[in-house]
Amino acid sequence: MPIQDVNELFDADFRKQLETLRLLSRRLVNGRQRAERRSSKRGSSIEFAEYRRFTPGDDWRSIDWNVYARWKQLVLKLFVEEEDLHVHLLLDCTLSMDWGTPCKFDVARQLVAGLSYLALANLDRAGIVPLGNPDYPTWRPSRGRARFLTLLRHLAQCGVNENSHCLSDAVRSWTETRPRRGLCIFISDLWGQDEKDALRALDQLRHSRQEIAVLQIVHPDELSIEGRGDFELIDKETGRAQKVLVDSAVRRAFEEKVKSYEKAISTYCRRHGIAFLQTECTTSPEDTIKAALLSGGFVR
Amino acid sequence: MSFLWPYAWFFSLLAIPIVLLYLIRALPRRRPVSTLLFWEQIQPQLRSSPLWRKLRKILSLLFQLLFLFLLIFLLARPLLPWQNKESATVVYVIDTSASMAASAGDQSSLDAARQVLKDRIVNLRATDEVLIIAAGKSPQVIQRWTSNRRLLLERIGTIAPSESEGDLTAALDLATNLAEQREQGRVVLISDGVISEKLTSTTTVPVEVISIDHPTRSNRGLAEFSARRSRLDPQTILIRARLVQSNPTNPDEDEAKLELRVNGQLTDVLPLQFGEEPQIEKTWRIPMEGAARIEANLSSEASDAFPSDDTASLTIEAVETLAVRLVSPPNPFLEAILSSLTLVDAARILPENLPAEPGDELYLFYRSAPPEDFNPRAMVLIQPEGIGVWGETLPGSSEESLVTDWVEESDLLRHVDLDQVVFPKFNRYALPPSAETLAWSFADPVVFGDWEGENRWLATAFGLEESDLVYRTVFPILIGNIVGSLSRTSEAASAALPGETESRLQAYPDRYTLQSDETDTAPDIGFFSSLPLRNWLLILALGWTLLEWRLYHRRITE
Repeated sequence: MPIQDVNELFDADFRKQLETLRLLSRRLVNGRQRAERRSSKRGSSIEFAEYRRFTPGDDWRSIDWNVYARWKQLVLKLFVEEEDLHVHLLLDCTLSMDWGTPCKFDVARQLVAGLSYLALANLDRAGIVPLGNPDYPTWRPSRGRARFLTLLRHLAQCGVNENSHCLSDAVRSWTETRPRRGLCIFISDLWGQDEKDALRALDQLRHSRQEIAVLQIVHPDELSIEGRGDFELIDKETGRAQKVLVDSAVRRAFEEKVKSYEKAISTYCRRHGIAFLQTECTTSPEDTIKAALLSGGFVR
Repeated sequence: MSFLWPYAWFFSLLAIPIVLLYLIRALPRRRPVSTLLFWEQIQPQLRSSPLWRKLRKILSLLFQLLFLFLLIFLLARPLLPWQNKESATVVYVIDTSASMAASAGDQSSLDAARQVLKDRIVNLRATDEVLIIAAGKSPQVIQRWTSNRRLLLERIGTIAPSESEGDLTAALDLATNLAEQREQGRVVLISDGVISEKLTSTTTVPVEVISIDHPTRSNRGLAEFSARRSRLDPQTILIRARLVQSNPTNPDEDEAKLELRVNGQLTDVLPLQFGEEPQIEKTWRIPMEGAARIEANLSSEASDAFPSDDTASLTIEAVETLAVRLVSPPNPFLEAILSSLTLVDAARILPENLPAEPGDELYLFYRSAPPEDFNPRAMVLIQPEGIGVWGETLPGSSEESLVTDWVEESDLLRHVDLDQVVFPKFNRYALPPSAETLAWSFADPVVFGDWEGENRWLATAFGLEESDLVYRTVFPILIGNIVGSLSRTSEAASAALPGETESRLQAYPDRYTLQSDETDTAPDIGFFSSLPLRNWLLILALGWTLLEWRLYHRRITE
């Protein structure tokens, strides 16, 4: 039974753990409003940016009169503009996330709640994108702590979609809406339609010029298989069944395939400068976010 | 093949639930997974399973069914054809003679015989009855007629070997008598074949002989060890030992050593070299008046299959002096005879001084007769008159005559040559029924008496003065024989030994004539061949169980 209570998604202790943290963006942003993120624009912050000759039409209030007194030239003293950051939290809502105890989808939503709080607390804009669940509306990036409770309620009502299981299609549907560039945190188990599906989804995000961070949530029971003998494995997403006879050789082959897949994802992320963090759903969200801090990822 | 408990086959219905449970168990367990992505990638490996892996399920089911039917087969207690031939009532005679203690390795012949008997008992049918006789020195019924296998097996464990030769004749007589009382009774003799030459049988009861293979190891032992005091010199002990050897395996085993101890003191050590002669005889002369315990011990560095015949011991009593009383007027001739005898306490008394209660003496009456109620241990009467134990003196006397016949085999007349002995005059007697005549003068008894009864007497019908010189010469020998026959110290002593056949450990299959309705049908006596069929099946079932465990439960498919 998925969590629908706001308090279970984000409790007071979790909030205290997040007070000293903030999301890290490695790129300069172009936000909508002034905030605390360095922007590519020149503005009115206290951080000096550069000098430029005065040209007609410039704001004369930016003229550095000290320089004029010494050099008899009109020079503008420019400062860095600080704007807000758009944080897109892409939540995988395919049916494969609804698996295990604790459920991967619940843990993913708790992480989304935590990351949303970090964004809102630091004057950034947080948006929630339920990938693969068109029936559930996207939470457009919004700003202000006051929006957080509404966001939580929205998140608590979010569920998985039984009909969607292709990650790349879901990501393409979102990128086609031309979202504003920002920090895009992809929270998923990365179990796609095929072994290239997750990579295609990351390609979609990369091509939309988003700064990407990947948070893979897996369950320990997924990485191996317990027991021996005949099993009829039922795919949670597609409902397909496959009969296998599990023995030590088959188990070894399975584990090697899983490791190979994870290595491929990790290599891809490293090659394209994507922050990647794998966590197990048995790990608490607080520890996961701290791990992201320690690994030099997207939290500082 | 028949079964002792055919109802066990009803358990074959258990195959139905086994098959059903197997089909249920063979269904794969459903397990939801988050993705089949990786299972699809290793699908080629799953398809390339070896053939036996694909057949694993059906093989496992077959093993389970085979195991079930094997257990049912064991419960049904199958009978082999030779087991079907067993009679309903069997008397088992198991040889417990000393030779059965001979061992080859850890197992003696008696152990092998017990095992054969146990195998037979285990396969008894519920209606069969068995009686067990141990053929030792005397036959002993170990267990009466019963069909209780547990009781029979317990009693078999109590059978122990004896230390002497077994009397198989008596045991077989007892067994056949008991078997004849039952319908279709039969006798089974279990022996090592070392059987006395005396064994014969005339019974009509079928007798089956199961021969235990006797150990072929080398053996040497005392076949005979006896001793007695010399008749001429009772103070000397004559010892005789006979040693035999059989199955020597190498020349070193020919050498042995025989130690002789008298009253615990080492008296002689005799090195022995058997060589080609399998038998050695030795004698010793040892002067000793007192009682003597004589022990012989045969030792050798070579292996010996039968230690029971390596030692022997016997006891010789001390020299005993016999009191002889001459009841006669002074007679230098008789006094000289008696005084010349060794171990004799001789004295002469007058007839009027004869004691009222005679002791353990020999009385020699000359020219006198004992009172009517005088019954000493032994007495010699020379030409008695009147009526007494010698009968009645007939009136009148004979003319000159001679000894015409005498019993030369009698111990009393040993070395006594009565030929040409002439009697000028002798008395005629009417002998009592118990009297035995030892010498005749035509039809008249001249030497007679009763020397077998409790109160021995011997009488002569003639006097010493009336016989010739030849008789006078042999008379001391006659008196010496009489004294010697009363002396207890002249008896020989023999050690209790297993016997010659046991010492040789050689069978005499041609010498006994038992009727056997079939040849030896017993299985070979060996560890593997002696295991009952059900034990083999049990071992097989255990092996199958392990294999099934390996195949099915552990799921080894590589």
